[in-house]
Amino acid sequence: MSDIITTDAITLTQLSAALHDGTVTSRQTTERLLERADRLDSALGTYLARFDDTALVAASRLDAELAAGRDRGALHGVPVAVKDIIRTDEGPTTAQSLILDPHWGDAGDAPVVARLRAAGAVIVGKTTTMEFACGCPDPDKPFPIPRNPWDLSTWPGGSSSGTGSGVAAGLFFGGLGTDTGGSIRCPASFCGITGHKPTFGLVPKSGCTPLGYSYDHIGPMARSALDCALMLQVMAGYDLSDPTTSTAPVPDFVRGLNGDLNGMRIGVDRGLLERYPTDPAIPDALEAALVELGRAGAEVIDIEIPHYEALVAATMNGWTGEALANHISDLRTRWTDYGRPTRIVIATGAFVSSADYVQAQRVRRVGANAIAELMRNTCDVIVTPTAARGAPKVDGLSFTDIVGAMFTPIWNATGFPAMSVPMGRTAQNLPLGLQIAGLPFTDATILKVGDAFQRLTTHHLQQPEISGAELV
Amino acid sequence: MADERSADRTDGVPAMLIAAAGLDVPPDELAELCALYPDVRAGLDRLYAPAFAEADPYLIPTVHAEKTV
Repeated sequence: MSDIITTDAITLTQLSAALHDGTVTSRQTTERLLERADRLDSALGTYLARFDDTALVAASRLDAELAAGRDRGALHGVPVAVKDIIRTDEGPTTAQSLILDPHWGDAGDAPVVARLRAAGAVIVGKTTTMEFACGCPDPDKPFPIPRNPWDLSTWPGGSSSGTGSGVAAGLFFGGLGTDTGGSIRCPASFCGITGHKPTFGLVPKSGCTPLGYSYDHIGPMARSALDCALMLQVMAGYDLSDPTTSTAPVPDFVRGLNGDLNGMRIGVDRGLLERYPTDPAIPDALEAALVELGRAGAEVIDIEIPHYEALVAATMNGWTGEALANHISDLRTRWTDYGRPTRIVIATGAFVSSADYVQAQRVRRVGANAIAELMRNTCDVIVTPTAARGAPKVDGLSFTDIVGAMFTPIWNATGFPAMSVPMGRTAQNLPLGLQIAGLPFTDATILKVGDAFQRLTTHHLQQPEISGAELV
Repeated sequence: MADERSADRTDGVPAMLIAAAGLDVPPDELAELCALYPDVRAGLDRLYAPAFAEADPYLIPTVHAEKTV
């Protein structure tokens, strides 16, 4: 078997081709990835649980199916991981918390996991997060502290930390993240991978512990936009268990990915970079990205995102109210069983009055309408940096500092789709992300833009050299 | 102003809100929580800018992006 499986940054798409043409088998691939995790995960803190035995059995079964002519599609035999706030058949869901009832996961696969599994994905394990997908890592609780493979002293971002670090480190080819204020796009940016927050209502989120029910999204994380499109194709669509899912037919997310952006109008709000301090590498990286999008045929147009600050406030103060509603009983009786960063953040929901919460919903509606009107008149997508910086150090992490450095929360208030693709590095060699957002249910359009960018660049194909004293 | 003056203390408005929620928070963490209050309140105050305060009152809750635009 070729060593490309573990030594180079190949994409899910490339692995799928290799599986289908017989270059490698799913069993061989899964074994190599698990061996790699044996060596790296004590330093990375990617996994909360590994499903070696069931994954290897599934991989062998899928190999046999393919050999017999039954092809489940692009994900057939592809190893993927699941953020540990989403239920899987293989084992318990912890939400990285001492609070969650261990039997919560007994109902088995969340719909989105069941869809991946039916499409042939091999579920290799559950990945680290922050407790209930909020706060910061807490060293006082018995869970791994996730680290960034680009620099083990830095954080991979959150809350889909392990999925981000695992894809970047080559431990699996794709995975599930969730995003309430940026938790797919932040780790995608910090880890140098691609992450897609779908339109609210496109992917069912039942079987996932809620944080802010009206802000939460489940989405794919992988190396490339095409990888994410292949995963989203399987994940999307109505499910009876989630009444917020759309009944609209699922479009083809892959067919339009041809690198041609002629006729596409890209809106860029350069004013954000004037209002918010950024890493010195970001302005040049953003301008270079815009040049590449222009090379693909797009027209770049200056815009100003309306109601930006209010929409950020509507997200960050809306989900805390929803989270407090979910957790208040346990917070009253089991305060210290929560990690300190998590209990502090969720408790800020008590500062949000009922009037504030209702007003936040009004702001979401006004803001979404204003952005939609802007986009209909001027641009098809809006791009910004994903974050104002590269990955921060693990030591001294501050939730408020992290949130203040993200350009992501407005797309949770609006529910519009947004993705992050790698666009360069800081002077410290830490990845930077480009965020691409679109109108509701235009996920195919932003995937097309991300894919076109990646056809002209190689940022997404860079894999970190992982070194550290704790590697085994 | 009263809110701001009390923000770094554990006996002002933010502490009262935490207590009203039924949360029994140790003093050091209560101080940490109360220190966050001014920023949270400043964010909440942005929600009442004229563009939103004067918006159609029927433009309220939706959780479905398909229905928002």
